[in-house]
Amino acid sequence: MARVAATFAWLTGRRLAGIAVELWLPILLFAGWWVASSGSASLYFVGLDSILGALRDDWLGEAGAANVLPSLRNLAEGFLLAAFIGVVLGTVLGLVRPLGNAVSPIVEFLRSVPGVALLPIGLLIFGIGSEMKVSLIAYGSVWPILLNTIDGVRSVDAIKLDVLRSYRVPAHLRILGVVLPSAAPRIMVGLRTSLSIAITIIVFSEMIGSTDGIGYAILQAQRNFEIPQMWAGMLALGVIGYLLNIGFRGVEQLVLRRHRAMNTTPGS
Amino acid sequence: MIRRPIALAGLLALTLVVAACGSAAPAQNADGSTPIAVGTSSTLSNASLYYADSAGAFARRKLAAKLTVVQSGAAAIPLLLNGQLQFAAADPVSAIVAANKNIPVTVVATGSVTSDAAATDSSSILVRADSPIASARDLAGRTVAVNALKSLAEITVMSAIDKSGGDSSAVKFVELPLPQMVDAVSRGQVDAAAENEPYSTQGVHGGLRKIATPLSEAVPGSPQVIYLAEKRYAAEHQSTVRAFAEAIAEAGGYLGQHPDQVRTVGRTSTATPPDVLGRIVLPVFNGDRLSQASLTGVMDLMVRYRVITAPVDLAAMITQQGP
Amino acid sequence: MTAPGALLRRAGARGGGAGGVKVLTVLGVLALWQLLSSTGALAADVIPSPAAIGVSLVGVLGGPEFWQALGLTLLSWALGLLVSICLAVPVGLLLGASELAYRSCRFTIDFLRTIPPVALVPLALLLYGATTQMKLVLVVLGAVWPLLLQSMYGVHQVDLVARETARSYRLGRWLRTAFVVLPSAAPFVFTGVRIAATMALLLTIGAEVIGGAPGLGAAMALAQTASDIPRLFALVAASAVLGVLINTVLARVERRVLSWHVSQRPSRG
Repeated sequence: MARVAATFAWLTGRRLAGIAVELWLPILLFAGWWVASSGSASLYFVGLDSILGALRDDWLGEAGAANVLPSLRNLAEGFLLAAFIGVVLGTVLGLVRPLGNAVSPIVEFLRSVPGVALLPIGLLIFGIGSEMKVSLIAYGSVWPILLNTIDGVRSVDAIKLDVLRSYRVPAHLRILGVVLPSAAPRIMVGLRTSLSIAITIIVFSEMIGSTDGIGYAILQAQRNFEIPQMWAGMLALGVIGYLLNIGFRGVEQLVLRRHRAMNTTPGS
Repeated sequence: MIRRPIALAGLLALTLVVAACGSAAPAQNADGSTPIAVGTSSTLSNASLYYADSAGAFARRKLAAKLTVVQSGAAAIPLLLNGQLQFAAADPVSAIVAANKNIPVTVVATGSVTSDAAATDSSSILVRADSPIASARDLAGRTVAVNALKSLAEITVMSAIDKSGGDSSAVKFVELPLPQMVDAVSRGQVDAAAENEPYSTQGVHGGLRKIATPLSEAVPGSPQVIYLAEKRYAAEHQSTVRAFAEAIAEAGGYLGQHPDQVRTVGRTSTATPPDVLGRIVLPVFNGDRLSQASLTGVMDLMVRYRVITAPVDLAAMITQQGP
Repeated sequence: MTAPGALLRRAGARGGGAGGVKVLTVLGVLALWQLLSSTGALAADVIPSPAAIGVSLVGVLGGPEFWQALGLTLLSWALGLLVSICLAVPVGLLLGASELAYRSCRFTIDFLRTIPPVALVPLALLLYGATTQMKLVLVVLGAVWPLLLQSMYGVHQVDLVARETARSYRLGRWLRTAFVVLPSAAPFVFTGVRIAATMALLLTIGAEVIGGAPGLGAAMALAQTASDIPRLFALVAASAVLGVLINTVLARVERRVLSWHVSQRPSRG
């Protein structure tokens, strides 16, 4: 019993030390920000206390939900659309090599178009509203998913595929059962990159011709010289982005657990 | 060996950044005139500023003006505050909002003023010809495009709706650039647009229908464009500010008595083609000095439609010039 | 296995005739697009035909405003990238060298880099207005993160054996850094430069479109509000070409600069 307790104490001690190492700097910076900015007379660099107050009043709760929820919904729709198109198209282009090679210059060109440059075009085609934002997000986020899917699909163990083919396993089973799961880690990398891109796109797509959203709220705060609200918005955006990334990493762990299990050979 | 190139590059970068960042305007030109950088927009409402420059009103008062086009009044205020501009054209709403938030700007002069009759009003609310909207009252529950949210356009549209018996709280406003609003209405993306010239006339010619003239209905005779300066600059350069205000008033008075001159000014100061200039409703100018009373109407609307929560001390935000 | 399938696979895998196939595909897609536009299936005022875009592109390239705008965009891009490299790479290399520093900074850097730099446009506008300084600040604020992370990661990846060998040969700290750490970290740093370069271009154009600072993006916004659709598409296409060019040039530079490194890598059998 005593040994268990001792081990427990040792483990938590190490754990706590590990957490302390990771957190001391952020806490110090935050405290430093508070102290440096309190009582600040500067127009643009206002006190942290007023920023946190604005965060509480305008960004959490109902007022915040009115802006945050539409953004998140558009983000989710656009991202899922990009994921679907990216994986499907990527699988096709990856497996049918001649096709993939033939369209590669077009893909290279289309993905080099800066997402922001598409904002005027998006406004033109879709006008104002959610379709414009969802389409813009989908267009901008699809490329990492597409390219990583192509890469992942092409690097599937050729021997496995040949064995399946010689046993006359039908194509769709080959793809769903072996190709995609093998490519899963690469696809996840692509999805992770796309998430950051999608977050960037949703913010700037809400800065023109929009009636709600996080980007819209930050810009409006700036226009009306509501400086604490503007800073609070940027802070909120950082938190939301961070949480989304953590959430995604959790999903990634889940999905890839099966992959790891599948690929460990007996005795290794 | 490897550190040196990095250090050199760092030094170079730092120099470039510093050079790019700081370039304060000289206090006096060689010929004794005071250089002033003025932010403006490329619309006709700033015609008195352009005329003051081209007709020599500035030069006569020893001011060397450099006019720069800025996106909007609100966008010009940061430039005023960091000294890149000495004066900037803005609309009264942005100025009052800024004053409300204790941004240290002060109003020094007036540009164009809103007309007091529908026939001479350059503003309009446009709808599609086949739209069921007959008057401002029917805008309740619809989407109206304005060129900036919480602006003069928005509150005057709301006022127009309320005055004609509608419910202004049920309207949705969306922000679009002026040239695009006509397009958006024609395509049905928005139900109506609060336009200003030259798009008011272009919109009507393009098949849209005018249902109201919001500015003259809500705030007749109020300043449509005002000129701002930073408070400390105004306090330290009183003679420059006075000279600027006099020049603008002189130009405005002249344009008020010779309205056709506005078209001539517009040929060089705006990108509007001359034939369009010939057809549009011109902004109204006069030589009146800036007065607190003229801004009260705008401020009351702002309080009513909750752009600001409480009245602002107008006297404190105006640099009154002597008669 | 069907014969045509095997043939296609061999053709694709060869890669030699693939160049011709690529050109043909591009031409085919353009022809299809032109057909759709000409027959009116694609509304001309929404998506113009390739011919219209081509004509507009020629006009755009012929005028001085385009080259001025391009120059402004490239200036912000290059300057911003340079400043970012000078700031982030040394700091990253230093931070990566210490395990404690690495773990201390990880949370902070992770948090700060998830804030999309475009969200900082309003703040940058307040501080500088729609000017080149604003673009610079934005580019630096966005591009430092990939450089920082990649530099830290690069130092972290230095082969422990190599480091120990250097130490046992009693090489001083600076010599160790110069001959072991920096060369090992170099490819990672270079990947960071490539990522940062793309991001810097995106941020420059973003600051121009949204913030209104002068440059290519501002020209695009102007074309859109003036409803000059072919011109808008032409400008967007030009920016895409710019992006491709930057990527290609950087890839080539990387191959040249790191040629010694790549050839040192053992080839997989």
